[in-house]
Amino acid sequence: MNAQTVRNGSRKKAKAGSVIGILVLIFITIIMLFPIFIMITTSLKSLGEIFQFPPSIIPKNPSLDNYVNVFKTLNFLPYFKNSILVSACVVVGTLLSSSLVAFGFSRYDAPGKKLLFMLLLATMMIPYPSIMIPQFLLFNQLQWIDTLKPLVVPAFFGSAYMVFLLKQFFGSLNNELFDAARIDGCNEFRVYRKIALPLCKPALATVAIFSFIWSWDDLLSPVIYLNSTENYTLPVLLASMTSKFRVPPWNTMMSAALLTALPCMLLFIFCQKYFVEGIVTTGLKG
Amino acid sequence: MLKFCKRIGVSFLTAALLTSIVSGCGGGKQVGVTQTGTAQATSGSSSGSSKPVTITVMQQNAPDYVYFTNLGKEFTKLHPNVTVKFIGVPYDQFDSKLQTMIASGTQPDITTHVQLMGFMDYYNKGLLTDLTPYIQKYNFDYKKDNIPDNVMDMAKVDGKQWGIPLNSFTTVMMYNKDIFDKAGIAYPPSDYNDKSWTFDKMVETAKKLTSGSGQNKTYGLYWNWNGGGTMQDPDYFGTSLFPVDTAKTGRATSNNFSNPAVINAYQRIADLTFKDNISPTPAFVTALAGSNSSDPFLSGKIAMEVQAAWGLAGINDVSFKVGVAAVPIGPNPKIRNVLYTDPYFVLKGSKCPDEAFQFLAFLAQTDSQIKMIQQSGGEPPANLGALDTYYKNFKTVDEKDLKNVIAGSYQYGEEDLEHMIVGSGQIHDLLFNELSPVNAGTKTAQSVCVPLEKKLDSILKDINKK
Repeated sequence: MNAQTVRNGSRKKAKAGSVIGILVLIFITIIMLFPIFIMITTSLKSLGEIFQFPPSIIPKNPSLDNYVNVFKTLNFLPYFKNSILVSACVVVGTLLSSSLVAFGFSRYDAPGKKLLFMLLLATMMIPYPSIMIPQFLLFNQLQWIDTLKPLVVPAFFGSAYMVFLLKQFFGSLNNELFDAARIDGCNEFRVYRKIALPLCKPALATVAIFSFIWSWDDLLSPVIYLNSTENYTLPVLLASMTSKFRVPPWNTMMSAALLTALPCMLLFIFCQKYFVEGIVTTGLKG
Repeated sequence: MLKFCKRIGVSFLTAALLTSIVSGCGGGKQVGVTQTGTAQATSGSSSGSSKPVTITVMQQNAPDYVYFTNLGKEFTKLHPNVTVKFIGVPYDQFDSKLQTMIASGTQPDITTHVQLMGFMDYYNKGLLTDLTPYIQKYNFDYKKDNIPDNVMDMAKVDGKQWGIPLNSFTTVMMYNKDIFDKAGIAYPPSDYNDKSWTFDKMVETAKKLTSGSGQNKTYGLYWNWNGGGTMQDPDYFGTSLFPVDTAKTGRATSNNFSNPAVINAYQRIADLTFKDNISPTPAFVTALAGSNSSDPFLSGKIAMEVQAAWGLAGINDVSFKVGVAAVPIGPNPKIRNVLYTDPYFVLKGSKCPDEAFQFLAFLAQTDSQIKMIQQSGGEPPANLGALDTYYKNFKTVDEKDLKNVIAGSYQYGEEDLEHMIVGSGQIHDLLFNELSPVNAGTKTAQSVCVPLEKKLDSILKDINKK
């Protein structure tokens, strides 16, 4: 057996290995995409076809009527507008506040810094139901109930998880960069804005995506703080379509769910590069 | 440094601007519960007051409840100073939201038991306003509104009335006429006096109707007599899980899980699936129904289903014809049905109990109840005067049959125990989880029920301590 034959054999093995790998990946992708496929096909079915068993994979008479219903009957747009508004503000608030706090924790020394940081992290351990009523009382005192403020304003006071994530990233930046900026006359805020933030784009993108998705999917807070239908967000609309005592219109529900998931999908597609980079460099995953 | 301060200032201004944008889009005005409650407090809550009052009604946020908003507008025409505001909450979040509102003193004026907290839980926690003085003050005559005594009494404790029933669901047997026609078998009777329609006869009929295999299998029967609950199942079989006076006292103090008759009752239900082979397994029910929020009967794969009347809500959408029949005579001929009454409460702390009560009285009237049936898609009324509209609501169901079934249900029905005892949510969850292996056929009722007696007793002690 000569060297050429050995090389050919290893190439063939490597090729076979990569083919198997690709096949496995395709298989996993199909499994992952199957629920979305069912969601799409269900959204195109009539109510009668929904109740058929075994269920049809491909709709017999596909129709976009359910999507029309979502806009006409369910009044989708006001919910969408509220969700977009809340999520966009939460992203802005989280990015502003968390990056500023994380920069401080990462780049400056002060007595009790570690203790403060531990206290900040400890707030992540507090289950939401335990602070639900005190928060409700607070927002009620401020007369913020049934407005979008309770969903948005807390984001401007930082998020422990996001501060932690960004601190990791800021900590990985080279000190010389900041020293050079200071020598060049930058004040501390400018160092943060002109040096730290641009270098943190991947981490900021990760924070933006996480905070957007969490806010977008949040059901409990809107349910607790909002009373008027005109203020409700999309998760409340979706949750309102299921009831223990009623038959949910699965087809319309799937149409609404698909439209609801769309912004998150688009956001991920467009920010995927930064997101993956951010996850890798901060060593975190969601 | 000055620049730094300026930038910080700009950041805060931006934040403030965003906040104002958000609040500006939040409906444009503060419609919060605080305003609802306190602003109207000045009205003095008297019936003669002409000061503007807003009463809040909290129910599930489902299209069915649009009638609260519509009837609220009609009520405002009669009482121009009163506005009715509807707070719709998704089913699964209902108790969380209500408890938060109650804890912060911002509770709605009117609500009912929706999720796992039943009437007795509300009463026991002291959350309800005694409506007796308002009944007298406004000469509310429930008999004139055709609400039966036993339905009204459901929300009565110690001679005081704590709620006004607006809906009364019963147990019904629904059957798929197409499956019966195909098998050439006569439809089951709707007359509760037909003594030939027994549990054994139903099982025998179900065996004839069960056919096919795998995904194409048609099942003869799906038995969900207690409408998703389990604690009353033994009642149908002539025994009882709790002492007989439990519903009257409002507290379950002990349980009979080690009683052979109770064990046999739970085993008999499981046997419908694993011995008689006429009922689908719980896993198959989930596959048929999609989730706990739907009904396997609608799949067209079930010939007969014994279910609470909310099962009728979806039958106008199915492609097969549906009939209704009497629940067969079981080992306990006196109890054949469960009644699920929904009394509406005026919560304690309401700043306008007079107006809230008047709205409830308005909703109990026959005209309002008819509109409720029409706009909800078929909620059964508590006012029997509106039943004719209810009978006509289901397109393939024979009106006469439904009339017989409802009449029989009231005659042979007992109120849902989950409404009537303290801590019913906890008990429900325990029984549901512990009895799952029996219903899945992996354990016998004997092996599950005997140890369950101690577990349940321990929970009952905790509940009754509170």
